[in-house]
Amino acid sequence: MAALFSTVFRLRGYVINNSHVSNLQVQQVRTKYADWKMIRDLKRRRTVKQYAVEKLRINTLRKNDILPHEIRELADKEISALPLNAHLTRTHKRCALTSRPRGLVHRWQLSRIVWRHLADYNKLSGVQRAMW
Amino acid sequence: MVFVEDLEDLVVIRDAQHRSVEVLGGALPSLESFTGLSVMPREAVLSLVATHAAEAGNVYNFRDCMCPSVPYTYFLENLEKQLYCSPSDAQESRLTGNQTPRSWFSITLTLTVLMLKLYKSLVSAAQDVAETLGGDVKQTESELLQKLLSRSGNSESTGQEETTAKPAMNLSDLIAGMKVDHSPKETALPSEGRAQQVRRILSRHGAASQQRGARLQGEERELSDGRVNLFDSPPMGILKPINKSQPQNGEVPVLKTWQRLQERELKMAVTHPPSNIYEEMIQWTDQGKLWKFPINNEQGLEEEAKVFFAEHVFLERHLEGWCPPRGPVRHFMELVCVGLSKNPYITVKDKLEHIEWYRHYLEDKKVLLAEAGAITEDSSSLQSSAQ
Repeated sequence: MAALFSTVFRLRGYVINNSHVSNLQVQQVRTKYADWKMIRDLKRRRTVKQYAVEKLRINTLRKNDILPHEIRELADKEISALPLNAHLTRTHKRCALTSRPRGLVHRWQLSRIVWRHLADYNKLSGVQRAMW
Repeated sequence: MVFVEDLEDLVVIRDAQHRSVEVLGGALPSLESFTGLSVMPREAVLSLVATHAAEAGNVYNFRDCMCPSVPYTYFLENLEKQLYCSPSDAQESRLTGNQTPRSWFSITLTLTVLMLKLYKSLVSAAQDVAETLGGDVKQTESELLQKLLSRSGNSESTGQEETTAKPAMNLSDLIAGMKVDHSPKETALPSEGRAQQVRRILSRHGAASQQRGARLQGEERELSDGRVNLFDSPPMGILKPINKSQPQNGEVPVLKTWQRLQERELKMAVTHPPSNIYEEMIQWTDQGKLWKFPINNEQGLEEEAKVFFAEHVFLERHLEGWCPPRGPVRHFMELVCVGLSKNPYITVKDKLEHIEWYRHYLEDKKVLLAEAGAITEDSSSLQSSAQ
């Protein structure tokens, strides 16, 4: 334990004494994202967006029966050479506020719990309690 | 090592090592440090190591394991080398007084390994000596070992006048110098009035808080004392320098944030909130939150409205000049154009980019296409367009 503390204090001294290290973020960074799974999903969505157009074009080459087979096989190879996360199947819908992966109200991109809470306090435009 | 220097009850042993080396002759060249005066906190090291070994769940009997005729300086030096990254590190840390020892588990391990090594070398040395002497080798060897190993007990039991300066520190010795504090606890005197009590408590509290404040300030000063240089790293650019020309004109420099806030407050004071739902809806329409009348499906598409409808729909003219007039390539590109013309969601620029991409792609693959018979020699306008 004493060794651990001495190491920590030495590290602290090192960080304070060396400005190029103290420029780094030592404290944890707060983001607007709820957890790391949300950030991972976001990263994948960005990759999907980046490659979406190219993927669409290559897929049209792959999935027609007009061009010769050689071209279509080439296009197959090109599709498989794309990064794994370039495909939409790698993403998963999550709540935009709580990152909950289940029970989503799709139109609002919110989990049912958050959605219900907002609706209860009249924060959702056009949402009305069922009455008959 | 610091605990060697700090402890007073150092044990000086010079006889056992000296004589053992004399007996063994030059058989232990690696243990030349035998001859020097060896100073070590013998009991302290033993007790420390034993307790920490016990703590670490590894109970070794170090008294048994340790051969007493081994010079402690030797294994202390080795221990130091093991404890620190390198001898130079050890030297440095000894100079600066900073110590980062490894865990006690590793210390105990190192000690046992060292002791075993020394014991083995001792035995082998005894063997060598016995062989050089000749005669009954086994007997001389055993005699030598017996002498060497038994010397330890002698040195501890009989040679007290020359071996030990002081005995090991005892718990009773420690306690002997202490006294139980019998002085009465500071309590409020009964003669003291209520008001005096309160005043005393308050003053004490104030003093304590002042002390705490002073201590905090001291810590801050310590931190900032030559350690952190504010202007060392490149600035983040979140603070803009005030324009220095303004104060020269005799004006007060404009503080933009305050100005903005003042303007906002003025606006809030002048404008009234919508008095009814219609006024509110008018406001929303102005802010672009509601549809404007008459309803137009292409509201907000001002840029796209400049592009003529035919640009979106008739795309086949962009195939002229590079696409072969007939064959599978032409067929495919015509289908692409039809698909694009039916897509209302992308701009004309995007559609043209699609066609350009296919053009480059097919030009790259024109050898393959020719081999497959998709483009013939006479209709190879892909090639002509590429040039």
